[in-house]
This record gives sequence, C-alpha cells and structure tokens, in this order.
Amino acid sequence: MNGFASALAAVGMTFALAAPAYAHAMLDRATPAVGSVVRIAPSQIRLQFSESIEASLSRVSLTDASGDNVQLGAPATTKADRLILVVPVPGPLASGVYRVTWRVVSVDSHVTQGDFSFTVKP
Amino acid sequence: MTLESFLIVWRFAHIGASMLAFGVALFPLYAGVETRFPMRTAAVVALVSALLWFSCVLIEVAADPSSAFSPNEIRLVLFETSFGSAWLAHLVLGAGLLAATLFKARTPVAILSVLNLASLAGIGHAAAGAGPEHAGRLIAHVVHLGAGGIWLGGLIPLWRALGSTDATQRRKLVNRFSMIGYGAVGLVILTGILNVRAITGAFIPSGSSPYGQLLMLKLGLVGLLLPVALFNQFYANRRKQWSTLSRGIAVELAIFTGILIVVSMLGVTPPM
Repeated sequence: MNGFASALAAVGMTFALAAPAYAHAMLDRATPAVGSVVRIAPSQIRLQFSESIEASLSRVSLTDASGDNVQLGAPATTKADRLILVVPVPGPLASGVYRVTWRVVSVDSHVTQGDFSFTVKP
Repeated sequence: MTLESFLIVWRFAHIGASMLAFGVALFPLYAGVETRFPMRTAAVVALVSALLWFSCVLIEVAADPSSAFSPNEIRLVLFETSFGSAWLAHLVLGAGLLAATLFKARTPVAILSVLNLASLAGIGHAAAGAGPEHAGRLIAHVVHLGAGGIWLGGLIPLWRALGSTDATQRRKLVNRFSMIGYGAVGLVILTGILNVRAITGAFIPSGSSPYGQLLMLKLGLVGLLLPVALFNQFYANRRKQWSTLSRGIAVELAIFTGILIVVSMLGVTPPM
C-alpha cells in the first residue's frame, strides 16, 4: 500500500509541476521570423510548434509576391521531441515578400494551420 | 452535418460501448453474480464506431480529402505516425473483443474489454506530449476511463439484478457494488482533476473558452451525479427502498449519458 501511495504521489507531483500541453500544435517561433525582414535569403524554413507533430502529414508551401509557388524540399522534424519542422529551400530566393503557409498534424491527430510573411531585402 | 458532428456521434457511441463492455465484464468478478448483457452488441457497436471515428480522422488529417482513403494514405497514417499506431492497436483489440464475444469466451472477453478501454486513452488529447509526463498523463487517463467504466458498467447489471434476485441476494449485490463504487468515484474525481491540470494547465477550468465551458458543464453534471449516488447508497439502499433505488440508478444512468455527450464534444474542441 505504501508503494502504491508513493507511486500515486509521484504521478501527482508530475501533474502539479508539469507544463500544460495544449494538444493542438500552435506556431511558437519561426525562422525567418514572422513578419521579419532578412538580409540573407534563408536556405531553410524552421517552424517551432507548441506540440509534437507528424512530419509525414505536415505540409508547408512558400509563395512569392506574385503568388507563384517556390519549390521546397520535404519537411522533416529535427529532434526526438518532434517540435521543430524544417523545410529546405533548395533554390536561392530573390529579394521580395514571401508567404509561408503551413498545415500540420499534431501527434494526437489534430490539424492546425496558418500563414505568415517575411521579406528578403539584401 | 459537418465532420465534427459525425465525430461527436461516433465518439459517444464508442466511448459509451467500450466503458459499458468493460464495466459489465468486470461486474461478476466482484459481485459474484452472473449477468445477462448483450456483450456482443456492445463489442459490435464499439468496433463499428471506432472504424467510423478512424475514417473521420483519416479525412481530417489528409492534406487532400479526396485521397483520405487511398491505400497509401492509410498505410502512412497507420504505420508512420504515433497516433496511427495507437489507432492500429486499438482497432485490433476491438476486433479481438468482438471475436471473443462470438466465441463466448468469458476470460478473454474480460481481458480484451480491459485492453480495449485502456488503448482508448492513446487516441485522444492525453496522447500528446512525451517523456515521463506523457506516461503519467496516459496512466491517469486509463484509470479515469476504467473507474468511470466500472461505475457506469456496474449500474446496468445492478439495475437489472434489483428486479430479479431475492432480498438477501439483492442486498449483498448492492453492498458489493457500493464498496467498489466508493473507490471508482474517488479515482474518477482524482484522475479527472489530474487530467484537467495536464490538458489545460489549471486545476479548475476557466469558462472563457468553449473547452473550459464544456469542462464546467461536465463538472456540473458530475456535481449532480454525486448527490444522486450518495442518496442511492445512504437512503435507498440502507432503508431497502428498492423501487426508489431502481429509479435513482435510472437517474444516475441518465446523467452519465449527459456526461458522455459532453466528453464526446470535448474531444473535438481545442483545449485552449
């Protein structure tokens, strides 16, 4: 019974101290940053989410100011926690405004989406 | 109807059938009385609603809805995502439960009803996260479902037994259920609080979001359920008011149905 009680207490402590999980992946941080002006054209787009995501079901697209799609590599997560999605940008980006549109599926199967812009201005 | 409303219906049918199958299968183990319950029907409802729920998930996660049921998409989801492996395990266990009921194999039915309910914890909001915290959350969710299942699943055979067995047997049965009931209610409340903390970050839900409002509604229904359960135990049971007890149990079952509807809606609401 003592073992059970201490196990229960341990579970309780885990919950009391743990940071909340929102179960839906929200965009925490992006590189290039949301709305930023960058001097050097990025070779990849890094999206950090509040929740672990499934890379195989996640889609990221990049369009230039005239709305044309820019070719991107396959999105992949970087670490075991699967919070960061990295999408390679193979070709050089000319100066101008770009829009990133993302749609990701969290590890508990919830879909979230959004978009943001950044500007390349050497 | 939107995809979301279908999801609520399948979730309700699935969670309800899985909890009932579990609670009813365990009833003879502590009550010592055989019970007649359409276990096969419960297993069919559980499996069919699980498949329909999974189809909704496939449509939801597919970037292109027209390819949601393509073999490639199904393979990708089932074998290359973590929620897919949880679904695969859950569907296999659900099919196993149905097979066991077809063969009327009592012990396998009991074991598979436990596993079917436990694996249900892997496919909801509690499935998010990683590490020891994630494991703790899953355990709390499994215990929450199990304790709720024992409570809900025990009420039906108890309700039936009230009308059919002799007075001594009846009293024994009600007492045994009460003993188990105290533990189940305590665990439901404890793990419920832990789950709210884990998902929303607060011990008491805030009413400022739809998720918080649904949680408050669920708490309100539990708040109604507890006095009814206490009345059944301390008034109807102690005074041997069997017909009052029978009506009290019917009220408990009705409130439980309301709770399950709210739970089904919570699963499709972002916990913000």
